[in-house]
Amino acid sequence: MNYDHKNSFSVEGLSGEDLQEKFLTIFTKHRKQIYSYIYSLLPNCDDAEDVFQRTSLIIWKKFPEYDPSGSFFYWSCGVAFYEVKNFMKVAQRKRLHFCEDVIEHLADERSMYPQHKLDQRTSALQECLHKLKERDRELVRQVYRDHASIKDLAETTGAAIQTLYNRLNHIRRQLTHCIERTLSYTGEGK
Amino acid sequence: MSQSNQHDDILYELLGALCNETITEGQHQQLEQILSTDMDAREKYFNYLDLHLNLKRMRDEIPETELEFLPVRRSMRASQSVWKNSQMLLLMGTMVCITLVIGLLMLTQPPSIPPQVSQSAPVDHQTAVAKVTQTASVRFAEGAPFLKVGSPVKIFQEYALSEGQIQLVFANGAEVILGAPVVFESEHAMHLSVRYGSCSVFVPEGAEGFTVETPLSNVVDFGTRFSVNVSETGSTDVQVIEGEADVRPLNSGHQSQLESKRLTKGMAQRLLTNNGLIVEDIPFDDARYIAQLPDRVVSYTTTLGPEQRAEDLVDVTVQRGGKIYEYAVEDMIGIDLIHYKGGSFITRNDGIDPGADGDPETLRRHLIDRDRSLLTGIINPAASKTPLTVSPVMNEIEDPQNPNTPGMAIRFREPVVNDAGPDIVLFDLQVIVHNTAGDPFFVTPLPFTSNRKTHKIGRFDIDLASSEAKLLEKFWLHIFTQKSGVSSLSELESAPGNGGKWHVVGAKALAVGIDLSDLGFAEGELVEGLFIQDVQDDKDYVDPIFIAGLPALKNADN
Repeated sequence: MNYDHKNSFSVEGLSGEDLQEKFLTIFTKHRKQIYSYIYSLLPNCDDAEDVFQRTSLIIWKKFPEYDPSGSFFYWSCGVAFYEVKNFMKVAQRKRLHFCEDVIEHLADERSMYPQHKLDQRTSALQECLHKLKERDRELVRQVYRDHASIKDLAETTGAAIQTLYNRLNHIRRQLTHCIERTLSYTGEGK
Repeated sequence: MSQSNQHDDILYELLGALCNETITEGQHQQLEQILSTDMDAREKYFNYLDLHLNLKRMRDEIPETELEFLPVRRSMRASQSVWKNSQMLLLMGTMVCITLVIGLLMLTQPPSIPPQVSQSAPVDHQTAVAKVTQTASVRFAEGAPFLKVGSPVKIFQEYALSEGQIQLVFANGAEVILGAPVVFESEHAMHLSVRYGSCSVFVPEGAEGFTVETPLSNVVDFGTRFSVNVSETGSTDVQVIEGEADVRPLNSGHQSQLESKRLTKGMAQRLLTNNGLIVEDIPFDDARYIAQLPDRVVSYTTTLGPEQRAEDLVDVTVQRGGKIYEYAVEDMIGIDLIHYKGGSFITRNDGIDPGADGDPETLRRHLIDRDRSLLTGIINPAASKTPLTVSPVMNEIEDPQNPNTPGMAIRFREPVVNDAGPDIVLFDLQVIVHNTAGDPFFVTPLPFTSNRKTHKIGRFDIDLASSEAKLLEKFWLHIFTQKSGVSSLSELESAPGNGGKWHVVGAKALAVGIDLSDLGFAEGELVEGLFIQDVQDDKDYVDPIFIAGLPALKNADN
């Protein structure tokens, strides 16, 4: 089964330069999807970034063995999955991680997620952000764009830290709901 | 509050803590427990994390001006130029890094190390192959599993709809609309078995090979739109609307195997059994292909009251002309109640009757025409067995010689344009033990002329069985002390009520879209008001709690 478009090239017989070009083309196309896959198994930015770097290099090393008639993303998930497991063995109890069963469930389902759905969610998010109340948009801007810490914001605004966390949770839930509705009912492709 | 809402609240609280990086060990364990057993929760988990990542990426990828969150169309254009500028620089930077690493690796370590991971599937496929993306007036057959928007469709699970339509999107992007009565099942992400009923399939590029199996055939798609209709006897009609599809007869065992045939755009074929499998060409009928679910009120959102149930309407999502629009209450066209002959009204849980609170500024009619609350309304408009065919009598004070027409009338604060799909939304309070489809009512345009007509609304778009119908907070029912109810707007304000009583049995807010085309309006024509009568078919009456006009689509598109 394929969950993204099959690729029209073959890696067999390609020179190193061509191989590199092909790799960069296809990797660029799927890098966000691969990162999202890893992040869903290791929901911590530092951990996910670490595994993503390792995975990227291994994908490159294995690239000559990739069969272009199959899905690059799906193949990459296989690499990433084992890198996540390796990472967890090393990281052990340093951070909270899901147990192996849950990781496998998540990996199974996440590897089925097609790229175009991710793209649709990103587009829908733009629309939904616009629908937020101004003060909520401002909080999103401060936290996500300006990278302001909640503690600093709490001090500046005089609000309780937990209040701000609650507001942020509420905004993300609102956005999630809005994205779901936008995507579910647009009838894209019809 | 429903159990599923409570689960959602818990889940989202945990996801919030995870993304805030404030999650405790106990919360982490709780989240792990939920994710280990609940596929729906896993889907929500993925979506929530995607949202979090996308917001982070916006920080990385979009310049400050873009984070002003302009309207989507504008921002889409703008983001293209962004991509050409700063984004491109960022991507180039990333690519340079990767290229350097690759270059180094190529020098030191040719890519010939045996793979740690084979090309074959790295993990087993789980059981969900598709997701429900839309439903319209669905009812499930006795004992069949229930599906709602967002539900996963599991492999080797038979589903049966007795009414309505449902849209599924498969993991590979194939989109299918199934129309009831229909029985279906999937074995994997490229397969759908339709045992009975109709389905319309759109297979986008990249999902070619998607197969619809019927009792007599396999219809294998090659990137196309096609419809399949299966009768109770298994007889199968296939219509190809676009592209190509192979119809491969299944060997019935009664005769030698028939050859498959490739159908192209405009071709149709029937497979049936008559002492063996027969395949015959039939006239092409593109009406068999359903491209989208009907225009309708799709969903609504509300504020939540103390019991975490619906209270005030926030917005309504409506499909009009095949497209989805979301209207905030403040953007809709308000109404004034201009006539009422009926039996009761409802107020919030405070039980205050605006007609008996001593404040001349508060009127009972404002329960329907001045608030967005779904707990208040002027309900039980009187009924009629037959639709109105003449202008209603609507005197402010009833003239016994010329009695007022039973029912209620509203005037829009500005005329409503007949545009694509529903033009008006009406919310109805329905006690949970009453008619699932909602109480039917007649709707007549005002002013009424010979080229207009009364239309009967027989069922609500969001009815009691719909997963979108929300349970309401407590409300109070007020009944007029005079048994016959009130006969005019004047009486509505002055007639003594019974003081109200908390309505013990729960109720949900139903919603329906009213299309002015059904009332005899041509596209672009305007309506000033509506007359509403309950259909006198049983002892229950329609209970309007919110009515509004929708803005013209050209405004929405602007």
